[in-house]
Amino acid sequence: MELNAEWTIHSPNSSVTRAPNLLGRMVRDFLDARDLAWRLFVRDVSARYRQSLLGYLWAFLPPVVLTLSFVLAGQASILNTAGTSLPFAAFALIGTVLWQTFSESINGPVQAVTQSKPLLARIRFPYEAIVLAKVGELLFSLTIRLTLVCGVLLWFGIVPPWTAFAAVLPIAVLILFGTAIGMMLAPLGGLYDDIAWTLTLALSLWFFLTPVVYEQPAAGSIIETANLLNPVAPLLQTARQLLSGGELTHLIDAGIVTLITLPLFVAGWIFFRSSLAFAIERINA
Amino acid sequence: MIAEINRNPIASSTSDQDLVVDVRGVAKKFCRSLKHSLWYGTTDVFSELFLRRRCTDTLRSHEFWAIDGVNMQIRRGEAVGLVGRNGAGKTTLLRMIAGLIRPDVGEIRTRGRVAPLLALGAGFSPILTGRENIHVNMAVLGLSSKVINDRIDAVIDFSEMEASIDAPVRTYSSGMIARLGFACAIHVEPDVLLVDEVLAVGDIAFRAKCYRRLSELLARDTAVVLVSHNPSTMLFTCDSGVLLEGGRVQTQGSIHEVVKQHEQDLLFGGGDETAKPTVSKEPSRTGLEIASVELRNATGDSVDHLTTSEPGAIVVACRAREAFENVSLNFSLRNTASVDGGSMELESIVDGRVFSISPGESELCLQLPVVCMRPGMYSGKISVSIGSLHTLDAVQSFCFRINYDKPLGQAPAYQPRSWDMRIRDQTLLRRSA
Repeated sequence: MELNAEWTIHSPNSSVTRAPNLLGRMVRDFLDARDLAWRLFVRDVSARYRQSLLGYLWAFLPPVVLTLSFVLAGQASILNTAGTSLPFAAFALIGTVLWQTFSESINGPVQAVTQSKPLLARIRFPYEAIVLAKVGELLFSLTIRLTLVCGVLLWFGIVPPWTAFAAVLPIAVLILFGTAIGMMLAPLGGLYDDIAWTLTLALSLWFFLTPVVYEQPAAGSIIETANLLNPVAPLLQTARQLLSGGELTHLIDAGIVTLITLPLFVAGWIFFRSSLAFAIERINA
Repeated sequence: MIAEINRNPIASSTSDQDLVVDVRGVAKKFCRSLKHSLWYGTTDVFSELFLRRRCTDTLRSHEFWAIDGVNMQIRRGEAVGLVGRNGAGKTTLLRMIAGLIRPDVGEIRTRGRVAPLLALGAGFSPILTGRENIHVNMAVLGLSSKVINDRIDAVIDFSEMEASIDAPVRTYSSGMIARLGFACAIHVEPDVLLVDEVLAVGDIAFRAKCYRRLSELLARDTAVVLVSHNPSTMLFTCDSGVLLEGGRVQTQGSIHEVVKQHEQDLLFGGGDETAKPTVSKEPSRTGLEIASVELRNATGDSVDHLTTSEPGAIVVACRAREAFENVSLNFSLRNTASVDGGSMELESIVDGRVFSISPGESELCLQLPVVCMRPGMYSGKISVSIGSLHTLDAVQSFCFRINYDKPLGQAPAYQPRSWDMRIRDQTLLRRSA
C-alpha cells in the first residue's frame, strides 16, 4: 500500500479564505462532493416520502393550497385579482411555485447544517455536499411542480411556447441567489436558532413584498417601492412571463440581478466553507 | 506555555516516510458557558468574514485549555492508545486529528484517508434500510459509488446482518447499529483509523471479531488510535500509549507504562500517596453530633492510613447533649477505584451490637482485627443511628487510604493466614530405625 505523499495540515491559521488557489480548490471540492451529494439527495428524498401515505402528492399540495386560498380571497374581493395578464389561478400558481423554489433555496443550506449536525460533528467530508443535496431536493420538487403548472396552463387553454424552456435561466439565478444568502446564514444558523426563526418571519414578509400573487401594486404604495428594490421580483416575473409566453417587462432588471448574483454566490460559498468549521466545533463542544 | 511551544524546533520527522499523523504543540480551548461559546463562535465567524487574523493563543473569559501542548507522532501500522479519565481530552484530540476541529495553537498533519469512528452510525437515517444507510455512510467517509458497490457485500457479511439488512434501521438494536457502523468504517480501508470507545457495545463474539479485524488492518499498515477504558483491550491492541490528564500529556511511551501509570492515578485519585484522611459533613440538630473520625493502628495510636494485613480501627467520636439507647454505628466503605462500584456495608446493629450513649463525649469504635481490604483510596459514609433507620448524624464522605507494601496481584482481598506443619505419625519411622 503506497501512501499518498500529500499532507493535510490543520492549524489555527489554515484559513480557507487565505489558501492559495482558492477557486481551484473550491471547484475540486465541488467535484469531489458530487458523489456524496447524490447519495445524500437519494437518502433525503426517499426518506422524506417513505413515511407518508400520500407520498409525492406532498410536493404538489403546498402551492395548490396556497393558490386556492388566494383564489378564494380574490373571489371575496379581499384581494384584487383583476388585471393579471393570465387567468388569476394560473398566475398565482406559477408565482407560488417560483416563490417556493426561492424560499426553499434560501432555507436549504440553513436546514442542511441543522439537520446534519450529528454528521458534521463526527465526520470530515466536503461540506458542499449537504448544500448540493438540498439544491437537488428542491430541483426534484420543482420538476414535479412544473408539470403541475403545465397541466394548469393547458387547462386554461394556454399552450406554453417552446421559449418557455428559457425560464430555466431566471429560475437558476433565483436558486443561486437564494442559496448564496442561505450559505451566508448557515454557519450562524448552526450556532443560533434565531437565524432559522428569523428566516421564517422574514420570508413571510418578503412574500408580500414580491409580486407573487399580484402584478401591479398601487402607485406610491410601500409595496411598489419594495418591488423596485426587491431582487427577487424581476427574476420571478421574468420566469413567469417566459413560462406562460407573456411579454418580458423586467428583462433589464433581471439582467442586473443576475450580474450581482454571480459574485454574491461565490462570496457566499467562500464564507460557508470558511466559517462552518467554527460552528461545527461549537456543536459538540 | 505558548511561548514554549512556539520555540519548539520543527523536527525533521515530517520527512519520515512512515509518519501518518504528526501532532505538534497542539492546544485547544473550550468554553464552559454555552452563551459565551456561541458568542465566541459568532465573533470567529465574522473575523473570518472580514479576513481579520484571530488571536487564538489567549484565553477569553469562561474558556479553558481542553488540550494543552500535546505532541505525538503516529506511524504506519502503529496502534496508539489514548488513556485518561473522562474529560481528559481524549475525544477532543481524536476530533482534531480527524480534522473536525482546528487547533488553536500548534499544528496537526495527517496523510492518507482518516476514518473516524467517533460514534457508530452517525448519520444513519432511521427510516432507511441498513443497506441504504451503508451507501450513505460509506459515501460520507469518502468512497465513490463504484467502490461502495464493490465492497457492500463484504460489509454486510462482516456485520453478520444478512437477515435484517433490508429492514429500516429504526428496528435495529444499538448493538446492531454499532456492528453496521464498524463494518462500514473498516471497509473504507483507511490509512488512519480513529476508534473512540465504540467497541464497548456489541456482544463478546462480535467484539473479538472487531479486534481481530483491527490487528489485520494494523498488519496491513493502517495506523490506529484507540480510546478505551478497558486496560486489557489497550494492552492487547496497542504498542504505545499516551496518558492525558487535564489536556496535557502526563506520560507517553510503551502502553504498559502508560496503563500502569493510569491505574496508579485511579487508585490514589491522582493525589499523593501520603494524603491524610479527610472528613466532610453537615451539622446535626438531633442532639448527637459526630465530632471527629480517626484511624488507629494496632497499638491504639492515631495514624493517617490503615495497612492491609495489620490490625486497625476506625474511631468515631460523638458529642451528645442527651442520652440515647439502642445506638448503632454504620459504615459504607467503597474503594474509589473499584469498577463495579460495590461497597462494603458494616452495621453494628446487624452484628448484634448496640450502644447506650450518655450525655457528653464518647468514642464508638470499629475494630478490624485484620485489615483485609485491598490497598487504595477509600471513600466511606459513616452514620450513627437509633436502630437502623433513625439517623442521628452522618459523615457523607470520609476519605482515607489503605497501604500495603507487598504485592497483592489480582486478588480481590487480603486473606489472613498462617502456615503450619504437624507430624501425624512417627511410629513408621521408629519401626524402620
